[in-house]
Amino acid sequence: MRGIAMADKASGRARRLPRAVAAAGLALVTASACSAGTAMVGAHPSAPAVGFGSTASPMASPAPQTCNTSAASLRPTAQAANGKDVAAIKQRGYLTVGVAADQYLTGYLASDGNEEGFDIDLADAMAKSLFGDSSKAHLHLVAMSTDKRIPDLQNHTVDLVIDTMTITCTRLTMVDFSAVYYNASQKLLVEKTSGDKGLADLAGQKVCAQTGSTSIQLIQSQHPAPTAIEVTDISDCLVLLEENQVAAISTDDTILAGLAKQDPNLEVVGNALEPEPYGIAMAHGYDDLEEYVNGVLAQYEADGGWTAAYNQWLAGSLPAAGPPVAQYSD
Amino acid sequence: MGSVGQVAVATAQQQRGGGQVAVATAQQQSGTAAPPGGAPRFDTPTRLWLLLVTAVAAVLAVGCFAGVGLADRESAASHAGQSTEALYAEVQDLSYNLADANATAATALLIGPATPSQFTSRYNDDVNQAEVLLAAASQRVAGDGYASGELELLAEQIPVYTGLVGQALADNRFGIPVAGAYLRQASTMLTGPMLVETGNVVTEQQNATGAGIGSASSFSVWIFLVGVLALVALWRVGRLLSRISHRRLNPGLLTGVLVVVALFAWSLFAFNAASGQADVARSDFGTVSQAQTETSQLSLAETYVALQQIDRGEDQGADAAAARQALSAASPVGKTLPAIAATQAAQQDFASLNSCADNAIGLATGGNFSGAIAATVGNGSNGVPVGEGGCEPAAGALHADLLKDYDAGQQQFDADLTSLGGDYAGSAALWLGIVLGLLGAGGAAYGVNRRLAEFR
Repeated sequence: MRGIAMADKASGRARRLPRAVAAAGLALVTASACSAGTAMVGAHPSAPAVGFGSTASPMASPAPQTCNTSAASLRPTAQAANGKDVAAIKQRGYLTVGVAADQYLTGYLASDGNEEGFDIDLADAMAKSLFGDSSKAHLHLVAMSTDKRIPDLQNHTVDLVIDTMTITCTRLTMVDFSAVYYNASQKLLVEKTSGDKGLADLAGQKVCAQTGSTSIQLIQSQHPAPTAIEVTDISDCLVLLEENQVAAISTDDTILAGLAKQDPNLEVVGNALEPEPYGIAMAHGYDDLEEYVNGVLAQYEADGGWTAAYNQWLAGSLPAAGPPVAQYSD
Repeated sequence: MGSVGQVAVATAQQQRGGGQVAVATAQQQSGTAAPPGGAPRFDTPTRLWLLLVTAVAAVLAVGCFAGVGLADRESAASHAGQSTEALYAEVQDLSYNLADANATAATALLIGPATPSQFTSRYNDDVNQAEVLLAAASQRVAGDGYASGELELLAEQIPVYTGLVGQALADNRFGIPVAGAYLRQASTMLTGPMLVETGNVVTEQQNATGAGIGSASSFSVWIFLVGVLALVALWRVGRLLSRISHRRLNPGLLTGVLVVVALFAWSLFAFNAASGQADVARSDFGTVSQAQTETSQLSLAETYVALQQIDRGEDQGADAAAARQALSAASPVGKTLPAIAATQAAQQDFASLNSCADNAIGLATGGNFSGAIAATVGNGSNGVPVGEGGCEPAAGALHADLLKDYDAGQQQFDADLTSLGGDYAGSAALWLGIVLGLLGAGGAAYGVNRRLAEFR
């Protein structure tokens, strides 16, 4: 009897043991899932990294725009060229423009030490209009990360930001924008052989996007939704796509064009998922500068500068396009 | 001389009228009369035999315990130097080679599409050396499941890591920015799981080395206890022998006692000397550890300085913070180690590198990536090729200094352990203890046997 009782006890322990192991395993899995959720590409933790991307947490849907982002800027005037803000820049002798240094084809610091891309050509046009040339003496390009663009405008570290910066109602409360200089839209980058044409084709698959971007919200809003994988630097998405760890990348078509240019096996597909009107940003209260910039922009678009830049940088990966029709707040 | 009876009679005659003890002794020796209080348990020869066995056992026990105890500590010192610390050094070197390979690859990306040959050679040498060290360390950890597991993981990750770096360098030749992304991922893999795994083995072996030094210098309570018991036993034997033989001193037994005292004193002296030597060894082991840590941290600092420029600010300041942290950890601590000649130069070279790296970090933080790259690897001015200017000379000089520190510390540590083992008479400790024990036991046996012979 005693033996049986002990056997029962032992079997009871044996029955409980798998539960305990399962509970411990569940806790471990949960802990590792939690830690994986906080690990992001681009960060360099000393703790073991389990991967280069992490599944994005659910994000709230973006608030609907309550303003007209495409017609929020001042109409150019002839007097603007002599306005106090423009005069101050001319007197200083150089224009300071915040640009990206990591966005291939739009704003990228090449290995020869020169910035190049679609946005850089626009900055050149601004400097040429002000000083007659866009030499380094007259055009100071400051590479900046996304999170520094608005603070650096507000504290006047830079005069302008030309950095694939989408005009949004929220941003309009913090800085001013020129008229739209490019109508970007969110699209997808996929393998040419995949046959995928939109997010609907990617249900249940992994789609990579930049942390905190509207692309994450867009991916998560699909029914059924693909799994959004987030990284801090968009070029990490390209690595994940090349390693077959994700099926697609979602972001602005200009950025996707830059990624596609680096891998001939990839293509930009899909309808315009979300409009992203780009504008040149400047600090609040610089009305004459805003009018002047819009004037230069209109001239740049009219004299073929815009088309030449588009053809040089973006046309290889994106369909043919012309400059957007300028709209102003009045 | 000859018979027991004659001796007994003589003893009885000498003692006649002299006292009870003499009478009792004579009676015991003759074996014909019972002592007061009852019959004797053993006759005299048997008692002498027992005394002989006790004396021999006591002296031999001290010899064996001293020999084994001291040899055990000599062996611990030898094991700490030749096995544990050797494995520690191998894995530390492995960690450094991986960190240096990563720093080389990251810096190469700053230079331009074509990787200079000296960077390619340095990267290849680092990876080859890492593989050699991994193979050696893997053989050495046989039997250590934890360390084996960590090194197995590392063996799986190194090919993946080199694949990512290879892809980065290949993409860099085309001047496309995804090169930076591949390098960033390789770096994340290296600074994440790979260095953590080597770090785990390093910590384990560091602790084992420390424990080994501790074992090598720890005082043996057993030698003390056995020594004290042996002296008590020999004192008792001496007293009983004196009672039986009526001689105050037995030269043979005295030899045994002297051997026990000598073994005891040798042990105490050796433990005392070893304890002092162990403190020196610990200090020098600290130097070795520190120099290796600083060298690896220096490589990490180089990596993060380069990554900050490769990331073009999208790392949100993480690279700059990591670079500064690594630089701080790479700061030489030579002030506490004045014996190492290279330390002063290391301090100066560190100051030079720190200033240069700080400038590069500041430029990159301010968005001037071209300036930061020029500050890091040079811009080809003054006839200095890109990749050999900027902070590179200072980094190279500091590397050399730290390697000198490391070599000097390692030599001192090896000498410390040899000296520590020497305190126990080296590998001869066991035999010396046993031989001394045998000599002492032989002396005691001879001495008691002389008395025993009187009863034959």
